[in-house]
Amino acid sequence: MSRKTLKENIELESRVIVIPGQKINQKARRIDENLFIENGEIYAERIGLLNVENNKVEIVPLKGKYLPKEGDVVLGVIKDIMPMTWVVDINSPYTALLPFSKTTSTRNESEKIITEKMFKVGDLIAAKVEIFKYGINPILTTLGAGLGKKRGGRLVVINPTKIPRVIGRKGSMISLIMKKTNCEVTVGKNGFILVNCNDANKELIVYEALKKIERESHIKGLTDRINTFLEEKMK
Amino acid sequence: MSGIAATLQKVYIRNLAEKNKRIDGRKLNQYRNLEITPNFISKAEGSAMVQLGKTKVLVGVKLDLGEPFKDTPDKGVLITNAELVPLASPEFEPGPPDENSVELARFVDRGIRESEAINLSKLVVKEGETVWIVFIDIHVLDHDGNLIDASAYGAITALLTAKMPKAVINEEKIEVIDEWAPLPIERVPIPVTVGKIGDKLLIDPNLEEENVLDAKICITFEEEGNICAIQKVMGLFTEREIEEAISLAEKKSKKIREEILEITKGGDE
Amino acid sequence: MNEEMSYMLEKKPEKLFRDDGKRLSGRDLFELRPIKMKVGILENADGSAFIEWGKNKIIVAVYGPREIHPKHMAIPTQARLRCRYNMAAFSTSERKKPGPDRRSIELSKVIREALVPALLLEKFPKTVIDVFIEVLESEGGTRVASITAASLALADSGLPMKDLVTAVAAGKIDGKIVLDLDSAEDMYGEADLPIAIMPRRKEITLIQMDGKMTPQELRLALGKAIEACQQIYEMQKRALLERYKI
Repeated sequence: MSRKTLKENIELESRVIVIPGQKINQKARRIDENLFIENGEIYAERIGLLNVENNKVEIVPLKGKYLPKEGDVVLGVIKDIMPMTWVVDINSPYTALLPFSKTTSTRNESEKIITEKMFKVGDLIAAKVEIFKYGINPILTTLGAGLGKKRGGRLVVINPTKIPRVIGRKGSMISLIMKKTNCEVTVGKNGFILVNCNDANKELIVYEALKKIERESHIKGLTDRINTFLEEKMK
Repeated sequence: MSGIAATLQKVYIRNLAEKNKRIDGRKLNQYRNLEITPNFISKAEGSAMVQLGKTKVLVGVKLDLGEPFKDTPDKGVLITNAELVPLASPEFEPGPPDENSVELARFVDRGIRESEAINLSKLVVKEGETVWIVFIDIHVLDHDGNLIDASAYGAITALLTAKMPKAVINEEKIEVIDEWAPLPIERVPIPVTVGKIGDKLLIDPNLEEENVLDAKICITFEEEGNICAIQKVMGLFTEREIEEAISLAEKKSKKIREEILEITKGGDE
Repeated sequence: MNEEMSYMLEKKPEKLFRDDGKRLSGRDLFELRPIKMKVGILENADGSAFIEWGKNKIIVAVYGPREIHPKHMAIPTQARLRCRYNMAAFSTSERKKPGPDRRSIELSKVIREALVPALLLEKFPKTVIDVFIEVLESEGGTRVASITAASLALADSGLPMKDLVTAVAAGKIDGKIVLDLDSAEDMYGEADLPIAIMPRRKEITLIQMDGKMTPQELRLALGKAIEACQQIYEMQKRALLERYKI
């Protein structure tokens, strides 16, 4: 067991699951947006794992919808085309918009290149959330490395609250999966994950591993279990 | 579920089918795990909770006294109804039954009716005036594809385990007394749904597969091997494909009938 | 009696108490029926719960926050909560005709009003949160069982909430105040008083009554119902934690 995994386990053991309205017997200077203060006491606002670190109390949610954050890289499906704009399903209560101007950096590109960059309904794209204010459709951009239309692979959808666990501390989980399976895995913050191995059996294994993370992220020893799972399946 | 709309995923499933593979790792002729719990609802005369993969359907059978149809005064009445309630899928809307739920109910009904699964002549209390009406109500709870098979298995299980009270005529008046007997069920019709992707046929498509299917057909078999109902739900088949679908479905229907009879036998106690 | 309730009719008993002072079901005055709750039983829904309360069997699904259709239904400053209470055709003694009737429309409304105070709808402007309630089997008290289960489904979906919502009915049968009326007691008793509270601050989010009670009786009934809610709240907490049992 690596030191990183050990640390992860110890942290998890100190966590408990809290439910909405539950009083948290902690004094802290900082709380996150999943907690609230009433008459000087801290209460949970969502179901999740309680995490107390230094002077901060936070809840790691176990479930919930994806709410866009500026700078997030998401995977989305083109669901409609409007004048100079694509409408993109990003698995969120708020449908995203991708303006034509956010797909190309130069104005004088040849027609051929522009056409190549045109997206059709049903296309899967990787994009970055550029602007988001509550209640207003988020604005995406595909300008940047690795962004744009995706070709090939298996799309897996998991609850977006579990994406941090899929990535792992400093990317440890996702690199474990990629290393053990030799697959390319593109993770969208919104819960869409694209798995590409050029091998359906492997893609099924990665799918199962991702679903296992989604189900068991709150149970300690996740990294070890995923490691064992992948080793057994890849035999 | 919105991930399903991606073209890339559809292409992925199609490419798998070409190689005789499926997105959930099943073989083309492999059914999902089927679990049936009879007698789920005590207020219903018969009921069954069906879980087919992640699809969940609850079926209830209720009995009521009423008038027979004019053209069949010597027979009881069978009414089948299905509700695709919005609890079951983000795609289902509240409101009166749409064409999918009507097709579902009518196809399940047809299998039971045409196989003469229920001996309706035994449901007559007073000929031409009072008969038992058998209501089959299908309540879909979680939609992950192949609602027709799941509903039909629920319906036949609910019928096989249903109890009918005795109705007697007492001085011109009809009285229902607290004596119960099984419903007169004489056949066990079993449908099997076959989907087509490219030139490959597969049984029991899940929701992701249903979104990619080129064609879909449901075929209901009686125990003697006769076919008693067919519905092409969508797309087109060649003559050879229909023949192939029939032989695929027939094999599977036998196995499923055995399972259902195993579950329901001795259910009277 | 409500006309639409006729399909729930049970045979009328002579009295609602046995000679030994217990209720016909064998329960004491303030004894609840057995209650079982299970959270997270549906795949498609964002949150779900199943409750068995006596013979009541109710399943609740939550979808959302999600995009609202038609668009003009959107509220610019908050999410809209929609509730649909529906009885399965086989849920009652006599088959119920499918589809909404006036009773289920009213229940959908009061259940929604009972849940709204617990939610932080302003966090999701312009969206909708749908609560779908399917009564699979009914034995009196479906609205309070629905609210109790709906609040679990909402919490399970990960929505932010100030508190859970817990509900129970009190009532009066053969002159005595009791808790948790079953069908016959509801039908032939003198009064039915369903309530819902947010347990943390004991704020009341549903109160209805039909029948007759003196103000003193009402006070006793309300007090007993709030007490019972604490007991039900403990079960709710356990059910939520059970979902994520390690």
